[in-house]
Amino acid sequence: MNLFTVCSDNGQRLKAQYESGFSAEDRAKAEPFLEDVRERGRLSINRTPSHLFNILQERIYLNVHRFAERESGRLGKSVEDILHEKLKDKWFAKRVAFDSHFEAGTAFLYASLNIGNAGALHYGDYCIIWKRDLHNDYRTGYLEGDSLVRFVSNSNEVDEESLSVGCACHDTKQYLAVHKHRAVALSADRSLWANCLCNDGKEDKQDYIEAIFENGTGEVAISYIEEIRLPQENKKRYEDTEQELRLLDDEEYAIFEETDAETAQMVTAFQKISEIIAERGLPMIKGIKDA
Amino acid sequence: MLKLCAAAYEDGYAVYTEGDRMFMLRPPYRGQASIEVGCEALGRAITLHGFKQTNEQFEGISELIAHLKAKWSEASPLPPREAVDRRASESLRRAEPDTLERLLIKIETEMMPRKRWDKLQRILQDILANENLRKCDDLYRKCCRLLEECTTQQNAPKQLLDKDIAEFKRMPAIFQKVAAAAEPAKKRRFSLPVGSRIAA
Repeated sequence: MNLFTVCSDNGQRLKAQYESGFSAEDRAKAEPFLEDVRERGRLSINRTPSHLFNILQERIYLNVHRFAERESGRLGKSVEDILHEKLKDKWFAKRVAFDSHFEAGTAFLYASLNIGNAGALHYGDYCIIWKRDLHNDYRTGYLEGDSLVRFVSNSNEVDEESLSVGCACHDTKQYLAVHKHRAVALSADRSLWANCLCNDGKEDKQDYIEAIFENGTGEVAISYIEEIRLPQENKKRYEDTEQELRLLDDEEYAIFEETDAETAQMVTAFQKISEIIAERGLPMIKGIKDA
Repeated sequence: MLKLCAAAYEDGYAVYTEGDRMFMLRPPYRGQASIEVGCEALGRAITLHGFKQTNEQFEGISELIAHLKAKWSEASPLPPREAVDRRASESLRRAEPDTLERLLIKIETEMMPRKRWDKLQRILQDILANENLRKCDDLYRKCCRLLEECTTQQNAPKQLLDKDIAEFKRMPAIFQKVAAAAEPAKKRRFSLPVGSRIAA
């Protein structure tokens, strides 16, 4: 099955459904939301500091299959053993079931559709935003929710029927978004939009539109990174703290490390990431205000 | 009883359950550090975000956090202070204007009252070396003014101490005057310059 063909076909259906199913008045209200998703929509993935650092150091982001292949060569274990070790039982089975169901599935890379926030922070404070022109080189499809939960049963069968009506391609992603979030799309309150599409679970439950992109390689170079986002309050805190620490004498510094190890860890992680970002010639970390 | 289901130990992140509810936890471990999530969060954390599956139980959140902190410290040892200071210095040299503006305010209002003049000078010199600063006249002038103030403040106490010592040497027999001159020096906790000798 070709996922991207299914996404393209359904995207057209969603577009037609929007044009016939929304009144002229509602289409006028929803147009700014559609425009925002179309123009500002990017693929994002949250990473913890160490994971982000590793991606930047290696200059490449690998999907789980490519990672397993690399580790297999390095460790002398089979790819399946590495995958099984990494993903463990239930999730290994579901991931393999989904990816192997589609053409080029083992080259799939996953992200979320993001229109301007710092993403799902509980998976990682740092939010990688991939460039818009990534789509010139990678086919992209969007699913209305998490692929493993929505479209893979507990017996590891892919629910093609549900998937085929809950997806869109890159050119029609805004129609998937407007159908999924109709009430918010019709709301004039723009501050709701970014968090509704991709949120951290503060309001109700975590929700996102999952993006799948591939070019046959299962990897994406860091040259495709548009920016790296961090909540503004965290960025300010780390920048301020690293300078305040310079005022401490050695004894005071040792006491700080001992009594506030969390802050010490987060500040030093921020420093390492900022340093390697500068070395790689990437844009500086962008602070994003919480909506 | 809490069950730790997955963790990114290098950074202190975790997914855990309490009864049939699932939560995600990340540092700093205060306030709203935990949020309740659906079951898909665990799979996503493991398959996409690099969390490693675990299966450990803890009495309560304090015990879980203590465990995460210990593992975090083990997996990610803190760098030496020199590296932290060096990176902070480099960070200032490439910071953007809005960051420089905020830090200059902070230096003036919060950091200068601490009177660590030599350390403040180094911070301000790093800001001065930032090319972005030269594009903002107001910030540049402010930085220069603060640097000048630090230099003045740093030199002032030493001059006063030299004066005290000179006066002490002239009139060693006058106890009250010596005591009056010595008292501020004691309070300032400065050590005498190397080679100084108090006349008997």
